[in-house]
Amino acid sequence: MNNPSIPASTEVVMPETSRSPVKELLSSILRVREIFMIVLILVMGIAMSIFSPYFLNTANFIAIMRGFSMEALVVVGMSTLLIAGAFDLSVGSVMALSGIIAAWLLTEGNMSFPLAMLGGLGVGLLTGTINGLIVTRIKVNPLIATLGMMSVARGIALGFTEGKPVINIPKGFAFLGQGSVFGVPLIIIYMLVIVVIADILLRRGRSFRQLYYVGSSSNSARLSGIHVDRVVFLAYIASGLLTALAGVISMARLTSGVPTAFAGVELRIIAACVIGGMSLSGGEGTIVGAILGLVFMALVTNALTLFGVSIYWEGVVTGTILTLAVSFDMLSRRRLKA
Amino acid sequence: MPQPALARIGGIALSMNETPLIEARAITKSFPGTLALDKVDFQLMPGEIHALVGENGAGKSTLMLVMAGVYQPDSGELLVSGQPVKIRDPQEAQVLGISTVFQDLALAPMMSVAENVFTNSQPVNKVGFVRFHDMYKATAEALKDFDVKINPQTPLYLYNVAVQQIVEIARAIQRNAKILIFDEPTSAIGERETERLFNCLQQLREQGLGIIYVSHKLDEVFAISDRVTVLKDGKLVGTVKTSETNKDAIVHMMVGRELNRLYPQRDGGRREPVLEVKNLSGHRYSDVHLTVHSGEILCLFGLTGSGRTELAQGIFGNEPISGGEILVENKPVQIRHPSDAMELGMAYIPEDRKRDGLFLEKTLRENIVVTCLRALSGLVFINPARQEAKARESITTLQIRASSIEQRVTSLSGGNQQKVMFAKWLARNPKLLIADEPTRGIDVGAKAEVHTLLRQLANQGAAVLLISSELPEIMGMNDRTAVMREGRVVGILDHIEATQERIAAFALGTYEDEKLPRVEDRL
Repeated sequence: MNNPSIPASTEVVMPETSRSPVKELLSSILRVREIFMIVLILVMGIAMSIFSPYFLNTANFIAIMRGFSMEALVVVGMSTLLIAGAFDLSVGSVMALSGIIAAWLLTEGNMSFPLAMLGGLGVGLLTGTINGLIVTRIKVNPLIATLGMMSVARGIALGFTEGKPVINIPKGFAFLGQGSVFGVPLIIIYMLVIVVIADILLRRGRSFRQLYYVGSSSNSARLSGIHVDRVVFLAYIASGLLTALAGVISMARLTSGVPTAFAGVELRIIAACVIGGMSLSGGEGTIVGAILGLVFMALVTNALTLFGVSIYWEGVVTGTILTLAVSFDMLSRRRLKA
Repeated sequence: MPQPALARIGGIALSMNETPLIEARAITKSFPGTLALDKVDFQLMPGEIHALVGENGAGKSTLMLVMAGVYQPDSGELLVSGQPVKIRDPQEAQVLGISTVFQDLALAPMMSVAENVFTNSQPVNKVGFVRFHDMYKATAEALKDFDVKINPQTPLYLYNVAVQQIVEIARAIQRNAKILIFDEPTSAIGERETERLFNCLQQLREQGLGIIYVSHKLDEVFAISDRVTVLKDGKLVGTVKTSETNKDAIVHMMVGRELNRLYPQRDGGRREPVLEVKNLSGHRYSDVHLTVHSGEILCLFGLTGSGRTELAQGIFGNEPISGGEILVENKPVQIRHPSDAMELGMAYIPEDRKRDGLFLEKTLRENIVVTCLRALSGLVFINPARQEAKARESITTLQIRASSIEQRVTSLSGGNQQKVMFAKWLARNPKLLIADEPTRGIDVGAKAEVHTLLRQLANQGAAVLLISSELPEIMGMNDRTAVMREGRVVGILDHIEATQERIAAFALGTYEDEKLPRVEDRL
């Protein structure tokens, strides 16, 4: 293209040129998190297919994907928040609550499917609005604001149902979560559609690019004319809506609204995002990376199942992976600085 | 009260039969791009209040921080009571009896006054529990001399800054400090409290302590100090007895220098007013009148804390204004957010480019296009090709030295980072550019390029408001100069009137009003 006439001066930090191609390849794998994740997932997949005869078949793959498809929607919402430098601990509770409200509207309220769906999404809209207002207007730290919402939403879910699941969901509605088209489960299709759209929007969408600027430096973003508070607020709304959608569809899949469901999901979601290349300080990462992080988490869970480890041990693994991922992130950052 | 002390000091300084409490010999300290201290000598005698003055960037803070153990000198020697010492950190300085009262006090606001005085040395019983009663009594005893009612049990944050300062002093004395360093101690306190502080300092002087007083308020320097040391551009200009000098002489020592750098030719054609502010007030500034015309560079000079940055942030909509009017091209405007200011054709290069200007972890391209995302995008999607073209164009016109437009800004040199700041605003063809200390922390070559850019911009018809605390820069760049002091514009000078002495005199508040017409008549 139009080649700048200025030669690169010596003060510019250039990558070392004397590296071997192998080292170059390795370093680019480490630099681009998506490639690193794909390699990690492949290695893990190969290892699992060697050690377990049940891993390598379509049924298992579909089961894995069904398992994480609704979490993927939450990952997309959480990603928009993390990129903007915020986050949300209330996602698990909001999933449960939105499912319960939609289930209640269907059964006790005798409402039509679309209205019940809207009611469930309304829960996400409301929690997202409240979270967003508390964080951007009152400037409460996202940790505290959403920790409060986590407890409140769960409390409403439990109080409203007195702890009992809402059952007898109409068959037609259950199809939304259980049905399949040409042998592909619907929920996997939802996931693929939303993930692809979200990834494109975050890569190319003008308004969505502002998330990266806000997360990278909110001061600079504001002084560059970006309405920082508005961007963060809208990210909370988006996250709330996606979380509620995941909650309602999960309810359809389970054919019941369970008030105690999805506890601890927030940790898995945040871990997936961080492993996939996001940083808690914001400004980094892609949707594809975060989804790959979720795939990795799902493989770990699957491995536990295939090797007969009790599901009760899962928290240990999730917590360890999260801590390791963040530590790794910190160490590589420190090396970049030095 | 100062009289006897002065006489006494005179005796010491003449006979030199006492060892200095602290002595700096040929201290040199450099930072990337600047020589902050160049073979500076300094002596503090017992029972002396020694003022340290100089412009912003003269090196007084660096010297202070070297003595406080925060910085390590590149070369030179420090002697405490005649013994050569190495002060590796502030803790070691404390052990040697050197305590610093910083502008941002290093206290724990939620803890009681007593716990702040006895931070690391609380009296304890055999089991290791704090003996609160003893501590409160000792604190009351320590604070008795300071002529102020303080309850040792009250949480510190309930007191104002002036009292907190006194607590900080009491803590230093509790640690057996022999040398107290004060950094602009009156910047956040009122007149009565200043007086109390001075009484307190004088008492400490009576007790034989040495006090280093860093300030740019010359009135205070003359009210309290025994000797004055003047630094300029990292060099020692001289140390004089306060009683044997006057303010004009000190101002001259601070700023008198040859202008030996070339600045771009002035075009000098001021045309239509682009920005007018009337009675503008906000946090830390009030009643400001200013006009910036197309084609001119209006320099705004003020020392740290004069309100110049706050004023700029108010105009650009980053901080709310509390009163007054802003007119752009003669039309009153409402600016509630930087985006409003940008719509009106304004651009703002902040003082701290790393914190407020750049996206350090993002690429050159992303940093440049952020101000014109909309113009370079379709309805929904960004257009990478147009972004790239814009970034390449900027790199070429501004001669930004980088390996590619996808290089992260954090790996660029300070000068090139600043050029990225210019690039992102020039991409919008601003009518008014506010540049706050645009040459701070960049090397000489890049400085000259920035100056050329500013002048080009003015010559092309933009209005430029250049905020600077470097007098030579103002001398070389200004078409007119406005001087701010304590939140007010106290003087507006035409290019020919703007001498370094005059600007400094306005900024330091030593200028007599009659010499020039009133500010209001000179807009």
